[in-house]
Amino acid sequence: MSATAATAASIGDRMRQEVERAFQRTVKGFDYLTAPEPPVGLSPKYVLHHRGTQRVVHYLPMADELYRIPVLIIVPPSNRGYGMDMLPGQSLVEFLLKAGFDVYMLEFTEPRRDEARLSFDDYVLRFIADAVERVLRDCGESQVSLIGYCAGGVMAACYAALTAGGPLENLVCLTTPADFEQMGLHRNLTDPRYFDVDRAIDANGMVPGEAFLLGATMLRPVTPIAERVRLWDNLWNDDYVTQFRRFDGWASDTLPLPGAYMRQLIKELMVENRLMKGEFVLGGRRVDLGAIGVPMLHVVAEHDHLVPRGASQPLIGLIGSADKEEIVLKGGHLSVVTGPNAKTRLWPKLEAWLGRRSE
Amino acid sequence: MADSGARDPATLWREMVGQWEKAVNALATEHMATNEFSREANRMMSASLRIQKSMQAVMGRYFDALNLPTKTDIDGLGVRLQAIEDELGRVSAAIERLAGPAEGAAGSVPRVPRTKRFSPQAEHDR
Repeated sequence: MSATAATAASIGDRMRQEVERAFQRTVKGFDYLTAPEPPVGLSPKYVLHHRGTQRVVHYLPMADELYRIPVLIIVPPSNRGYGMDMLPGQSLVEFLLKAGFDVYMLEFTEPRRDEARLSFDDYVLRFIADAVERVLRDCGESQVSLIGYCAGGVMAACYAALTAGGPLENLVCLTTPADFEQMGLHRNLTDPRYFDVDRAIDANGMVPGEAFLLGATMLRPVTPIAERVRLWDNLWNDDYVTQFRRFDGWASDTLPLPGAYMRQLIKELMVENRLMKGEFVLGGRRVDLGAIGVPMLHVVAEHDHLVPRGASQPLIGLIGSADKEEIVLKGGHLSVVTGPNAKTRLWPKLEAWLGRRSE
Repeated sequence: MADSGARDPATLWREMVGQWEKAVNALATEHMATNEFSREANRMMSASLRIQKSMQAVMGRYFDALNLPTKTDIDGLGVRLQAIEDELGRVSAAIERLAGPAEGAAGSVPRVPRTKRFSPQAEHDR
């Protein structure tokens, strides 16, 4: 067949394929609009403890033999825990369970209005400390590993610094900022010359989840439109649509945040950059990340638009431990942890790093 | 084949969407990094908060007239509920201490031996 004939046949095939997809889009587009939200967070579990906004969940083991040291995942107060357990076959939680880890999660439910006074101090010194105590009591061990995602990583690092010599055995931070001066647009929007944080928070006591979502969307303002265009283009592809619905659903399912927590986050971390300067104080004690002596792993996403590289890079240098490692992986803020490529990029590395330190 | 792919209108269109997204996002980020944007964004937010506050005051008077609880009343109930939860937490912690090591909150949670050793081969096979 001549080159011209081959090209014509190829264009013909492509045209036929596009017509078939256009038909599928019409049929499946109707399904998309009428189908209920897909189920998420399906790994078997039970609630170990739930009080106010704090919830500790224990996932049922999926291996015949477990590593001795349990793992406690800490999610940020702004997002729901199912992001770490998106769907069977694509869940960090499920992967860890099958690898032989005993997995617990500290997640947060929508805070009530009377919880508007909850501060960073409460999250670190009450909620994490309490969750660790409950996990240890439940499994009968005396040591625990923490995996903190984003703000959950900041809180886990603060806990590790303030409880040096305590039950913490390993610390894993995922896409965690340390230098808030490098937080780009978020820092610009909270510039105290133009933004009165007290007035904004006092008006309501709580910061609505939508405000947090808006801040994230503003970082890539046309991406939601482009994502919808891509969704339409891929409506024929069931896998793409399922993934899209779950990830998009999680990203927009943001929780309101207590005013006191947000005030501290903006004033002390974002504006004054106290964590980086070693001046962040919780419960009357200075958070010195140099005091962390346990093995520490920091996973950074190469294309993280929420926590830029400049903000996450300094964390590893601040940690006092001799056994510490930073790995930079391809992916975005969430996709590096639980996206389709995480199972070949992050998870095996996490299993290897944590496994040999969990015996 | 790569050449025919480059001429494929559907592929070209997809690439165009990606490039448009990248370019407009970059432009917007540049604009949003300016002091002017910061000032205007916060001015708009302040106006929205002022409206929200006056709406709350009006609604408060409305609920008062209808003899319905306001946000403050509900918040008061929340504080009392929190106090009850705190007390319950203390009671259940005391009971757990008296009862000894837990059998798992679900009761039926299987107890699996915690004897696993890390095996690079198993990691490789997964």
